Amino acid sequence: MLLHEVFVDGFRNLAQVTLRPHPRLTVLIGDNGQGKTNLLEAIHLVAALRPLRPVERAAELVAFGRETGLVRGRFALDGPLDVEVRLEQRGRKATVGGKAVRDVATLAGRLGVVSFVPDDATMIRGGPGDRRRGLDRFAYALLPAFAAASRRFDEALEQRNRLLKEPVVDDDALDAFTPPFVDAAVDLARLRAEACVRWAPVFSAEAHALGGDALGATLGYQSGCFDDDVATTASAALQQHLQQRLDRGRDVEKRKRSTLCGPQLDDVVVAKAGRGARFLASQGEARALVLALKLAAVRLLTEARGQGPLLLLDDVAGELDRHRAARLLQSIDEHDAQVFVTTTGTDTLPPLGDCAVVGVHDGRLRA
Amino acid sequence: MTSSPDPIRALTSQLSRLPGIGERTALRLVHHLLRQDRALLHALAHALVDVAEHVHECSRCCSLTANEGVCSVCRDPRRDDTVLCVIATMQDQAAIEATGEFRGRYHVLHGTLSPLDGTRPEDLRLQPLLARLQGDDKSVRELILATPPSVDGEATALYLAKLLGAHGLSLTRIASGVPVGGDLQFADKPTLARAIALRRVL
Repeated sequence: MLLHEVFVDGFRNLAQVTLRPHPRLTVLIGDNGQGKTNLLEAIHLVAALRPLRPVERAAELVAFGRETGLVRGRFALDGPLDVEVRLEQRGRKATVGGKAVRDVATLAGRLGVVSFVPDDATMIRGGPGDRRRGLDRFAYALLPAFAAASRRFDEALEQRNRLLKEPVVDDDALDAFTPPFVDAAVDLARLRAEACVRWAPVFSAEAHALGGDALGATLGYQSGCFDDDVATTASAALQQHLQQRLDRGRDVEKRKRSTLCGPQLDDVVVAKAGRGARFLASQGEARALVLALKLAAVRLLTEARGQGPLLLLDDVAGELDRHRAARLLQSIDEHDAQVFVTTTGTDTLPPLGDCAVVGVHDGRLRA
Repeated sequence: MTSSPDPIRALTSQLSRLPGIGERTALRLVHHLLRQDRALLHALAHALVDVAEHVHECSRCCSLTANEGVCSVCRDPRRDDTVLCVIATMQDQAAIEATGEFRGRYHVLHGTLSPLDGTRPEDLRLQPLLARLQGDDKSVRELILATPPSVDGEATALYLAKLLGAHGLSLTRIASGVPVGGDLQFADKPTLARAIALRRVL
């Protein structure tokens, strides 16, 4: 897949910007606060069809003083593909060739994006919620069914929690909302487990290749509600197990006014030599492990789709030493990914090879 | 002297209460209307008044109708009185009717249970359904729960199943699974898993 051109209008601090990226590597260079990361976020929006960082409302992404914003991308993916995402006060809307996209997840799955932002270190050093979000970002890109399953689970959890927060809990309604919750919970848990099963060996191999701090790292899915191996146990058995646990815990849930068992408590354990990395990893180690996670994601997405994904690297120079940045660039060429890098100066990066360097200043581009 | 409110602003504010229409779109609609022949505005106003005065819920199935008393489906003597299909909305009824596959009767709930939206059991047309089954519609043998396969729709079907469990009816749920004419290898996993779990005997 190639992104030939991206047009941005009224997105964050970008007024009207057209970028024609290099097929291999585009370096966005500029001082802090000029719009480099915003441009990267715009590319993520049009390729992943959702924001790089979660926002409360689509309107938050619209430039100050504007009613609407838009990002248009011209891709080559088994032929030309024009994708447009329009941001309005009420939400965002994706169109392809002028027609509304009904199945956003499938289109996003065909496009494929891996991002690497400074926040990603929370995948190693943050709490379970951070690690779960890191896993989910990967699962979105790898598994087309993930987006719908995740949305359905969030809805079921919110509905059930709302019932538990009523002054007087309606037990009949809670009985009725529990099976759909269980159903959505099992679907989500199985997809997360599948993503981990595929991610883990490739992650270990990438960590091994990086060597040094990353040597011997492993990754595993840790379910928040199932003792059995989620990836290999039949859905019906998992459903029965969770239903029973919820039935038994009903009184406690009513006291705590919240659903206490389910994949909202899932975790991803990144360990080194059998010990959780969260407590061990130094800053340098954490960066190496995150890099291994991302390299593994690029490899898996390339294999799954038969084409390299877009790789968005925000300020990696601050995150990686020259040796690791060089390894990253090498991996890019192995996988035929199209890469976008933001940086404050090229002197911190390793030799880049064939690329385009584009200056970003005050929301405008300079070739 | 009291001035009446600005009619343009009044209409804009009414239109902007409609779903999917914001203040700006409402204003655009108002200006569009004002450029039209005044006869069209009167016709529109008349149609609105007509709907407000004449459309009501069918006293049997709760669908919306302009007929006195019961709707045209409930009036139709060729319909099968032994099968009753419970749906969430009139649009769902229209979709099922368009298939031509169902010749029984309907009951419209006008919504699905949703704690987040504040839709509780008493907000759905459940009492009229119970009253029907105990009154005029004693011949019903099968109740098809055709609420949508969403979280709310499933919960509503389960709630109804529990409520009606003691009525001696056969309760069925619409099937879900792989699309007709589709390829199994391209079906998404949760859908295919459901199709396997809910397989039927041939």
